[in-house]
Amino acid sequence: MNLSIHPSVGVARLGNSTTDICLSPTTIGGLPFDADSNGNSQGPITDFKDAKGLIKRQGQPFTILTDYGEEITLDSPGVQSIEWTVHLANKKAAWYQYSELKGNLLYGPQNSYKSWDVPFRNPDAQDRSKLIIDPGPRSISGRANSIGFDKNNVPAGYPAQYPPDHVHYGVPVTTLGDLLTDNAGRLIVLGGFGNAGGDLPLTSYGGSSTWHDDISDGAVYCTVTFNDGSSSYLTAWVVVGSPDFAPEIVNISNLSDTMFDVAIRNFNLVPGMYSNGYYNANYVANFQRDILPIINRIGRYQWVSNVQSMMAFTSNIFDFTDNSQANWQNRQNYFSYFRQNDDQPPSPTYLPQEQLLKENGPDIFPMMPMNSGSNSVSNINIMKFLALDQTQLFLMQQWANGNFVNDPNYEQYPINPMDTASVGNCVGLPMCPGIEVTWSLQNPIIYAAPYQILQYGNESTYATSGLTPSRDECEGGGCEPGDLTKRMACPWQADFFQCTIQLINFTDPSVNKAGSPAAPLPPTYYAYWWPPQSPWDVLVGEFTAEGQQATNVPAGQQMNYARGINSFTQMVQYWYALGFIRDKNSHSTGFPFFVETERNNEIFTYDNVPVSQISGNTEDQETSIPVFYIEEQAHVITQRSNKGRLLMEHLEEVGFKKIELAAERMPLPRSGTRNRR
Amino acid sequence: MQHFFETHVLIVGGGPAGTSAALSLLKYSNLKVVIVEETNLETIKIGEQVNSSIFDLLEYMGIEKDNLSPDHFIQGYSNIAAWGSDKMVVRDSIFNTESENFQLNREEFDYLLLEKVATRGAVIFPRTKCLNFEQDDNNYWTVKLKHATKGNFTVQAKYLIDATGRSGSVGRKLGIESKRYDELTAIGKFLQVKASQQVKQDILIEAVEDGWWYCATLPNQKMTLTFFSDAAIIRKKRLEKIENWNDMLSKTKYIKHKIAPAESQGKPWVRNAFSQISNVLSKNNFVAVGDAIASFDPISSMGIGFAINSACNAAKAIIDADLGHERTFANYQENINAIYRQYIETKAFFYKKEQRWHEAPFWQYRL
Repeated sequence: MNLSIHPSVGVARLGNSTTDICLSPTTIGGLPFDADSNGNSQGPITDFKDAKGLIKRQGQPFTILTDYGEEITLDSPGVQSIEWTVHLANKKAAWYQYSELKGNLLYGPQNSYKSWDVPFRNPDAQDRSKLIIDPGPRSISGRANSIGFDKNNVPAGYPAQYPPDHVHYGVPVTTLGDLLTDNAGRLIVLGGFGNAGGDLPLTSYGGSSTWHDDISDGAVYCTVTFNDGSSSYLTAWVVVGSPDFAPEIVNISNLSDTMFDVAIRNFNLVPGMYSNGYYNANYVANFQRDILPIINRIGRYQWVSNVQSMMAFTSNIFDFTDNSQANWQNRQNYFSYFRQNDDQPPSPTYLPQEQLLKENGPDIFPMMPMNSGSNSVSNINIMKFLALDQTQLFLMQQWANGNFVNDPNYEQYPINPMDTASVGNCVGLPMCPGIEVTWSLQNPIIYAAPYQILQYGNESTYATSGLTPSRDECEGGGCEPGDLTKRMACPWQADFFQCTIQLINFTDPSVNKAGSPAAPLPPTYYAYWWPPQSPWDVLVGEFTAEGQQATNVPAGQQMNYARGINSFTQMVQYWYALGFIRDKNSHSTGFPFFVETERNNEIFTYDNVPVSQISGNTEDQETSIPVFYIEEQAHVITQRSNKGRLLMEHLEEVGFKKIELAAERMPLPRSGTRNRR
Repeated sequence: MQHFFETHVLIVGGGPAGTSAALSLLKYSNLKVVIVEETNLETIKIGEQVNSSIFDLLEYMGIEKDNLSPDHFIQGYSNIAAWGSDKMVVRDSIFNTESENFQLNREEFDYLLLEKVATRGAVIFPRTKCLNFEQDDNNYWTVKLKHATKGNFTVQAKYLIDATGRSGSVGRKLGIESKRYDELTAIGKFLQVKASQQVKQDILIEAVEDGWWYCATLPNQKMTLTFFSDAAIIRKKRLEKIENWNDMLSKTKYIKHKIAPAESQGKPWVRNAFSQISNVLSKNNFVAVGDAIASFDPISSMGIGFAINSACNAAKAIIDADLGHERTFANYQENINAIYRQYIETKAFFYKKEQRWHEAPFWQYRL
């Protein structure tokens, strides 16, 4: 009997609640699940935040399945024990500074970090291995147990490493998370608390030297022992990402699409679709499985970003399901709006991803998807606009050509749905660097099999010599714990704060930015990065009068998602104050209604600034601009002592008590006035 | 449940003018008083200079010298200016004839007045905005109010006092007349002196081609730095932009050294500092006090003293009117007009002392 762990690559997410947790969704675009403190599922999530307004950590449950899809737990007959071991690590501080696509070996060896002389983060560190956060492995077995990745329970003799206890900015990282077992002995991996700290100011989306965060990734091992003495040894991987603030909105090209594309083209996953280096032009796509999800995802971006062109593009202008010859022209026309892929590396004469618009005489329309590509930032390895991945584009092509059926009872691709669900809720494209992981996941060299990470070394080698700080897994040999997340911004909040939108030059394929300081070369187009993970334009969803007192915005008004968080430093401290975007009509079919919920409005001060305050012209005072900010930052300089607050509270208490007494004594007369004289 | 509240006098504005009017009313009559104040009382206020006549005014309102502590008046302030020449001289000799001056600690002073008003039985609503004013045939006022968290309520009053400062927002809503003499505008920043640094407690004024700088040390290692100029100049030079502000600052001779040990964040704030007088006689049972009836160039240091003085006089006018006397509001307005005529002369006299840039628009306008 063959056993395997699912998901093969799990995804947990940070949260700062110290009391409550939830569990990762089991479908792409599904909601997480509420859980008790042992990680037993309690049904679909009610609130993403605890009673104090802190975000619940999202744990990833790991399940053992037989070849036939039956689950093996401690309750299964013949099972004696299940022992799990997980090794989380964070290698960000030891890796190179994020330099867009520099270092991506899919572009060839001439694009290596060394060729470009890409500097390290913390370039002055004496011993680079000391920059890694490596708590070592933790093991857990039985039911309803837990163990943390903190300093107190490092395995004896393991060369564990934690970052400094004291930081100038932010909060020091003391743990990378916890392991739980539920009542049936399943593993739940919980990531960190969203702590990040360093000694230098944050100045760029890639982060700064001296900083650490508590993002991590690493290997999952499991030994199942049966009553007959036999045992099975299984492996998987887990990645810890930042919170998914809009879990029901899916990236157009998600990380499952990436892994699927890699598996199709390199691991012979579906030989009927692709073999010996070629797609099969006769492959029959299924509209329901291969096309409709792409169109639906494009349509749902409107709830987290303003891309009206994508809205228009996904309205049902013709019958997408009609594979007849009569509909051929419609399908071909539709497909012609999808951008094709640049080559890797791009060939200078054919640069479809540098093209913003489809032009037809004087008519223009943005090509699809209307989103930034993986490098609209710097001038080396430019990839301005997004294209679907190769396999997605192939399937769209099959659809356009009429090689498709429209069958809702389709056969799944040979990947367990739990394996696609976990990574399907992560960003797949663009990758600059991304949210959870980056372009290294496009490289077949890091995989052992479809959707399975190839591991380098093992726990005994790590226990002897620790993790390696500068080995590049994209040169081959597999991944160590920490390798999947090491390229991401350090801390993640820096990228999250700065990278939701991008102004992209669309006239010069060889330039993104020019001038000093470098700025997007005009003319530019307003594009988004990954709004399903990092929303930008959201509908305020507070439907009570008391709630609106705090939002200061009526329900249904579109506002900037991060309003009030006005700097890197504030993002490091207040990331948890951001709202969650939820479908408020999810139980009815057809009409999603996504609004912002659970934002910690009390943290933010709202003000209307008259234009006159800026112009100095008192005639401008009738027009004002709404401003949100966190008052504490200004506290030192502009606020009075606590005395003013206490006095205010006292006066209000006395005043409103008198109003209540007056009102009880005598209601307002019909006439609306008490004036009798 | 309707939120409705009756009083005799509704005062809009809880600064020194509003609270002084309340204290006078409460001391010299049995009229009931309500104050509404738009802020949460936490906005920082710039200290101001007063002369010893303030003690007589406070005594008139029932605040004896015993109630005052060194917290309320900061002594030992020196007061120097480069005005009329690039030499720093003691400012009193330029502007004032009064021998004794005090720097008011506005934070402590404002709270003292508010606490006195509350203990004497007036009702104060902070964080409350006026939504609209209606006056019926009997001249009674019905005012709709909105509290930041408690929502809307209504106050009915026989008399209405505008103590909303320079904006005169009540009078503006009622459409009363006012005359403005200039477009003086303050653009400034609050500064935090680094904990390790000691800064001399003083007020420094420096005249420059486009106006004048005012820098004062405040309690708790804070400083206020303000540039006074015409609105048009501030707008044209885009002084709200930090680089332009810093550029202007770098051209000062004394101020830039004074603020060297301090740091600040953010863009400068902009506030009105124009001279303006209003006439309240077009409305019955309505009076304005402090900056709302007459506002003065800050160089005159008249603001606080006048605020209290006018408030006491306005309270007297209301008390007398309620007893049936006539022309009490007209007398009040005439008294204000007389003070203002005197002020306009004195102001011109101050500005004439600075002749270095008599062709520059700022100074030319004031000569």
